[in-house]
Amino acid sequence: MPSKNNLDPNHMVGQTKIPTIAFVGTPNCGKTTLFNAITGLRQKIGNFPGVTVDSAIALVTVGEKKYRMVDLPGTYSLSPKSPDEKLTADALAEPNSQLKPDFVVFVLDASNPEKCLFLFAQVAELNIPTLISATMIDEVKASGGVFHDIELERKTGVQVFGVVGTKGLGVNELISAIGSEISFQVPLLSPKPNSTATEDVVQWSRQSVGDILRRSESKAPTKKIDQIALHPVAGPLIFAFIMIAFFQSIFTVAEPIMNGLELLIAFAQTHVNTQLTAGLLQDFLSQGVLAGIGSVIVFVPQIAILFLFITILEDSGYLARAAFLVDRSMGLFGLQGRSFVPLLGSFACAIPGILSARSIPSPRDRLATMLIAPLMTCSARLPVYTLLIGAFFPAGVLFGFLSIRAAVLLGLYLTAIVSGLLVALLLKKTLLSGSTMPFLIEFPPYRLPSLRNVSITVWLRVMDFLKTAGTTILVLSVLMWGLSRIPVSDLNNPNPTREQQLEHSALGVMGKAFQPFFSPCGFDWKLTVGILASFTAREVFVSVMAQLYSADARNSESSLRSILSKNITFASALSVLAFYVYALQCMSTIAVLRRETRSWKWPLFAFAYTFALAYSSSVIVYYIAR
Amino acid sequence: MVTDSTDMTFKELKSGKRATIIGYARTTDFTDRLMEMGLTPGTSFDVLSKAPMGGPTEIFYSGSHIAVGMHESESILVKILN
Repeated sequence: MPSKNNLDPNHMVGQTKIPTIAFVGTPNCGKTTLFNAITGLRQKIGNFPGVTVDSAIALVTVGEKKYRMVDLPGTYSLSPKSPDEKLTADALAEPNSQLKPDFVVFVLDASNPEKCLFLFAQVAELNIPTLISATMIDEVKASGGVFHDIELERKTGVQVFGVVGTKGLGVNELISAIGSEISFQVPLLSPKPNSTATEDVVQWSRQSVGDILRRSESKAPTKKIDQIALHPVAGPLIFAFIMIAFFQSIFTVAEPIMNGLELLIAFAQTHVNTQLTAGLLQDFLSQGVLAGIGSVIVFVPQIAILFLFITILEDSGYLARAAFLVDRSMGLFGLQGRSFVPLLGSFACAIPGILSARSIPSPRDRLATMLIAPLMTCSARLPVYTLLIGAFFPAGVLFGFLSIRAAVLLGLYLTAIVSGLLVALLLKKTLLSGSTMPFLIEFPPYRLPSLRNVSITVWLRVMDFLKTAGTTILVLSVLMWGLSRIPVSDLNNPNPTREQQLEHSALGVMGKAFQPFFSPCGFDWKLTVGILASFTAREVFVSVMAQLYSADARNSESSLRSILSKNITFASALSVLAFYVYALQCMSTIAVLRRETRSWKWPLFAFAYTFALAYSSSVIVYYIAR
Repeated sequence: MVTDSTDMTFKELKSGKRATIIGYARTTDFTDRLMEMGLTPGTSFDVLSKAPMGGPTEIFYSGSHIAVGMHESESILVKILN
């Protein structure tokens, strides 16, 4: 009985219930690209199976009607093997699911429909009015193949709409089809599979594909590229080369832009200092606001390069190959290749990294991955690292190509990775021992990353970073500035220097109270304040340093790096770096760990073990370097 | 008719070979998923590459490239075609 169900009065314009439309498909079928094109939402997408691990929801008005559109994580079947797949299976099949859809937009990869049809056959049994949106039809055509959408309609009993999500082609037609709900029909497979047993359904989909898609002699470069990219010798070398190129570019490409930004901020500060008469307002704007946020904003180029790099790797399809290449090495530490992507993602930010661990089938592997994710060097550490490395290491070149600073940075990253893996090994041998589901991953075809998606992702991440700078860091900077201007203890000097005033301010007194705890690490009271303040968010360290060390207003014209190099010893700087490699200084990460593990036990465990590592390594480094 | 065919497990496959799934020695989430991904008995595939140090094996069948970890792969029973 086609198209009758959607006249259910509860779901109509009575406004009591907004109809829910679920986007369902196999992993990496182009679902999120399409979802974004339709909803205008900018969901994170990538050419990697399992990018959508949480359901995104958007309220979209089509014509005069509102719909709740839900992008569900991709899955191969409705018998879930990992938490992200369970989310999809539950949303569709659980009777009292919050996300239970009134309609399904089934997204089918036209270039490789077999697994899609297998999933479709399972979804069809739920009797939800459905339509099929066929993606990648441009790729089929480009390779000389033919896709018979009429044949697909005959096999599935629902309407088929071809789209190219990346270019927005066919999207408007699909939207108006969604608006006229009669386009959704309850699926009717024909011929029916012999039974619902996996073998029979696979046979049905394989036979159907024969009629739906005529593949051309494959001219796709994927196989050829893989012969090189996955070669036992060349593969790992290419992987290493890509990683080194990335670290190199953080300094060589970002540095000039960063210097430009520094000049700009110094210029603004000079402007404030000359235009306003010396006093509280001038001091507040120049030292509280500009020194605070400005010092963080200069790291935008690094953040942009980091995300540019990760997005290109993801969109090109290389990331799945990287997981393949490192699977065995990760196996030595009790993990598997599946953990690679959440961990790599954590280099940008531990939060999406921890979320993407949902695609790991084994609960123990998943927990181990989440617990070491905070050790992966996230982008918030980058400002701290580049500041200190730039201040304490020369700009020379090693082996004729690798800059010394890039090498130090690479060293910090590697230390964190090796430590993280050792922690994982320890966890898997003790608390989280047990067998795991073997590595199993589908390789997406190589694709040229779309300029649009790459630039949107980088843009959004940079905006996120600036938003943090404009909120958390601004508030903390102003707070720090205020505390550093309130005198609390008596000065016996009628004409105190700025330095003396600072020492006797509320901030100075607090810093000095905590300093003994950190003195084995070689931190003075200013570094102590920086470290403590950065337990809210790591970047705050940089703005606190800018405020505490540029106490003399005229100094603000020379860069923070040169000021630090004169005021902190090399040993203390190394000790701070060692501390930042390990410490979990991020409230949001703790909150996400708590949500994902549904307990306080694991986030507290993560905080405690990272703090112990941070403190002890910091002490050791300080005593060796002193 | 296939006189030169040999039964073996997935683990023993060399790259460059073509093989057919005969069945699975056990039923686990892993073998379930392989079936759902279309690797049902009778499905033929090409062994493309093997990752270093006994890492996963990449295979190609019905338009898909899939990497399969070696751990538990002895439960995949195959027959070499050639």
